[in-house]
Amino acid sequence: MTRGLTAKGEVRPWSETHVRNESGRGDEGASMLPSTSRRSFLKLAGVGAVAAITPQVLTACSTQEKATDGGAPLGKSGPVGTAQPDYDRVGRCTCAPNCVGSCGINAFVKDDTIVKVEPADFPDENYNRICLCGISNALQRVYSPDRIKYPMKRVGERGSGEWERISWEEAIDLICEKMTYNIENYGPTANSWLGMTGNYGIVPQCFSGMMASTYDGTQWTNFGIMGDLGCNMGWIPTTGVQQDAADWEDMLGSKTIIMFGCNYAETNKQEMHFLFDAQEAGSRVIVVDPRYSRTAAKADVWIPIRPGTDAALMMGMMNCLIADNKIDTDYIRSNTNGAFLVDAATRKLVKDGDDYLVWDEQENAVAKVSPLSDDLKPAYPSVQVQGEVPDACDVPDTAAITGTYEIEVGGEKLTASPAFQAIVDSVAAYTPEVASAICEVSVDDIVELARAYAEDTPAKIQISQGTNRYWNGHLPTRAAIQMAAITGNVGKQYAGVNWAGGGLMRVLFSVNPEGMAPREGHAATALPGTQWMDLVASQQPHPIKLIWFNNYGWGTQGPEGRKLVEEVLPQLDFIITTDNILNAGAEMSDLVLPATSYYEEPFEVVTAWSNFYVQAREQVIPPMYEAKSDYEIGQMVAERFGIKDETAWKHDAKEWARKYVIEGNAAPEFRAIDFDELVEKQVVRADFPSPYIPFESQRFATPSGKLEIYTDSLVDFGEEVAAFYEPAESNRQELAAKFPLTFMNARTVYTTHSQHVNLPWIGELIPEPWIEISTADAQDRGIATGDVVRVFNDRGEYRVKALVTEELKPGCVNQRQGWWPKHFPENSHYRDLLHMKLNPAQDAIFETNFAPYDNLVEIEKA
Amino acid sequence: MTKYAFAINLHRCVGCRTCTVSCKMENTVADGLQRIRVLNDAGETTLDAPAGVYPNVSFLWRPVPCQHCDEPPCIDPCPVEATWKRDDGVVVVDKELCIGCDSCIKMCPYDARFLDETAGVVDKCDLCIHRLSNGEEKTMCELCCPNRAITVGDLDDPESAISKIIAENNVERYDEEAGTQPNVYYWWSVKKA
Repeated sequence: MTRGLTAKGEVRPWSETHVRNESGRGDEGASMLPSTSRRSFLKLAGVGAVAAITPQVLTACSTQEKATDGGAPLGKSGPVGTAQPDYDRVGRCTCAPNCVGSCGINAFVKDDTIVKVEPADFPDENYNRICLCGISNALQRVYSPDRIKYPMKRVGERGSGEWERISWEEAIDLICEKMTYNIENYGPTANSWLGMTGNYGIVPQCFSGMMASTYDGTQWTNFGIMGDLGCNMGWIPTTGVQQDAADWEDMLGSKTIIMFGCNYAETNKQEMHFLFDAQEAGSRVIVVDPRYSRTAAKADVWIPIRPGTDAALMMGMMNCLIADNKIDTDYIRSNTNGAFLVDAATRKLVKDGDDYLVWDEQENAVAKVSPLSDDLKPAYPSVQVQGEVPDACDVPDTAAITGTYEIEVGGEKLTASPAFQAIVDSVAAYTPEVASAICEVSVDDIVELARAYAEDTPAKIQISQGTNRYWNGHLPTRAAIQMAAITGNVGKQYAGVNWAGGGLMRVLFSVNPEGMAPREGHAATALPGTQWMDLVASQQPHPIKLIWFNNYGWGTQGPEGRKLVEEVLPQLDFIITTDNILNAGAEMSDLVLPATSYYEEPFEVVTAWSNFYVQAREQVIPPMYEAKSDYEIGQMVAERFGIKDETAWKHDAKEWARKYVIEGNAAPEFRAIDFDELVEKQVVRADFPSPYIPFESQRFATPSGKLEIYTDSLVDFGEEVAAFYEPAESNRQELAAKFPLTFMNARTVYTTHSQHVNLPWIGELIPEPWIEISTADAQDRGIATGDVVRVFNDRGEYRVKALVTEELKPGCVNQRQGWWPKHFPENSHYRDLLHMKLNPAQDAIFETNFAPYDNLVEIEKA
Repeated sequence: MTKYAFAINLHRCVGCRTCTVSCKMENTVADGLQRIRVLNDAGETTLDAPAGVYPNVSFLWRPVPCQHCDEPPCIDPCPVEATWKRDDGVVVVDKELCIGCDSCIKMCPYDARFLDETAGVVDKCDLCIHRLSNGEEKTMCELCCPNRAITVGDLDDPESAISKIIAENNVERYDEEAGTQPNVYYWWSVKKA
């Protein structure tokens, strides 16, 4: 693994990294952006807007009189101030943007103003943490001059920025008037809701469903359009659940950790320390990524890969594992459906009634295996199991997992092979040489990866968003699960395949239905959010006249910007956006409503991807201006419709959480929480096993109850077993002659999506957007750092400054995402370049996932 | 005696600048100024790019606070004696006395001092001495670093975490040839391959 290993950084001599730097970025000419080396301090001072309120934090080093130098030696000491700012109380909050970490935050409050924040305590101090985003959010986003301060009605053209301040009463009247008109003229489904993940409280995430079901409207599903669904669609067919992961501390104990598309150092920076802990304890960390991400920079080995080909790499690894007989045949036979016979003609699993068939090599005959009944399977999101697995569900120890057999079922003769044979056959084509040619990873690296995975055990696979964001983004996870399955690594400590997990999605999936659908006898009509623009544009399958966005930077965080403006928005009579900040989506709305920040909400329950802690978020400061929570807004609408008292909206937010999130939760692990204790302590761990090991029971929520490495419902797509095909806009297709560059849009370590880009402290670190381009690609195009470039494809174009870097595999560019149109020259925006092409296999599994990295572009100097 | 110093684990630093921002919050550092800067390979705090040529590249981030030198070159030049080294090792500026000239600033080999023009005084890292002297265990940057890269402690206490780090690891000090005897010890918890 010479490339990966030699990629590690040498420490440059001290003299070369000397802090004094008076001329900007080395020999690249004038600094594109102000640095904070001394010569440019003053230049930077004017960069970020000053927050509306600059809290006076403390008076450190102010006067010698104040010195209270406890314990310090006499003599020259002082001056010191007090240890903490002048505050009158500390309130615990939970920071919950879409970084999914849900850090507990202690907010120091003086006169109802947050003067500073610190990490709050968890029972396990490994989870005490905070980051620059959370700090900047509390001190600068809460107090941003861009806050939406009161309800505002558009008075000029859409997007003109001309607003009229109205009262909440007028706003609710207007909403009810518009909704009622639509109900009477187009039917209730003409009112629609699309919510997202800007606030990981339960209600903000569920508001769209709660509203749509209360008023029989349309709820746009959001998993696909958020771009997080690809990995889930590797899990669903095989394990029956959407996602799962071990506790992060489970990394301590892994000998090998292989990461596909994971850039925890930037995207989960509060969890990255677990990886360092593991590394310091001896884990070898291998990062597969087309970019030299900050995580790759910290890895023991970095494997650069052609974008969108991770599944092929794993197919190559599996080829090695099978060729070298480094598979776990007992596990395959007993715990997966690998022994189940597949009809050679139809490629469907052979069934005899409800039973599956296997070939018993001892008996030289078929044997039946019954599916596990549902009451014996874990009922996601619970992992608890009841009862014993009946013998009839066990695969005989003498069942074949390979071979071809002539069998007779119900009087019909057919040729069949165990399902695992299909895996052997499918990976046979992916020799290391073939995989190498696809992935642009060396044969030696592929062979070594397979060896490390099989021999340097326990070996863990981490997979995440980087693989999600291609049109074929479910394939890598499917391959990873198959690879873990055939090596017996599922349900095993320090091993497994890990994606998402914790309490975050679990709690959403288990909120009591009476809370999610607050009005008895009324229900939402769900439509796929990945198609929301097309369906609104075409007014199919029913008219959509109103859309209400909440919790969603919809103006920037989606595809097809031109279509949005030209074809979609004109079809909508009324657009409502609830948000903290007047962002690009809010600016295109007809009515904007001021949402409370995390610190202002009356009450919320918040969970995280990385752990099973449940946090109660109590109000820390009164709402700024006239801000209200999503829940309060929902209550006001219900009141106006005269239905509040007959629906679940009648409860206050805390009571709603008590009844539906905790006490009425579908999962016993959440029900076990004492709500009053949760309110008192503000952090309690749900009753999931500790340490938590996914699928420890080896019972799966699949039709058979086995880990289904063979999925006959996907035969028509050629995806009955792990497969590989090129991304939609592969850089090897014809289109690449015209648009040769793969356009990634990873976020920075300084932001969570669009939430933090315009905060002054963040602005000191990233004053403006840039696109990263490799030195080789920049040279070909005569582009230097700081040049404004035009980035374009057939769908659109935008302009941005270039940063020439060795961080990227040539052929890839990376626009750091989250910026708003106002940050780019001519208000242009990269979302115009992104497609939303449907993937039939994904639609068969669940719903196509938005694939923002899977777009080809060309760049030229503007 | 107490002798405060920093140990900073560069393997754990991912360049997120939470130290910078948490310090700005804690110490009301003026807009555009940073008491602890995280320098990249180019010696800058923005636009991080790796050194080397793809794919043989490396990233380095180095948090640079005041080095609280044993031989601080910034003290003698002060015309009004507004800056000194405390007995616990912390180099401080008394802003009541400081007249905002640049005498000390230009003597610092680490660019750790800067002029807060609005306040008309020199600003710098004071190792959150207001915290450490008042019962808080950690400086703000140490408390907030998500990756636990920063350790502040007492070199005179052989049992302190920082003393153990220095005893058990190869540590380096920044620009040591300047003769200033800096008290920020950089180390790597995972050795480079």
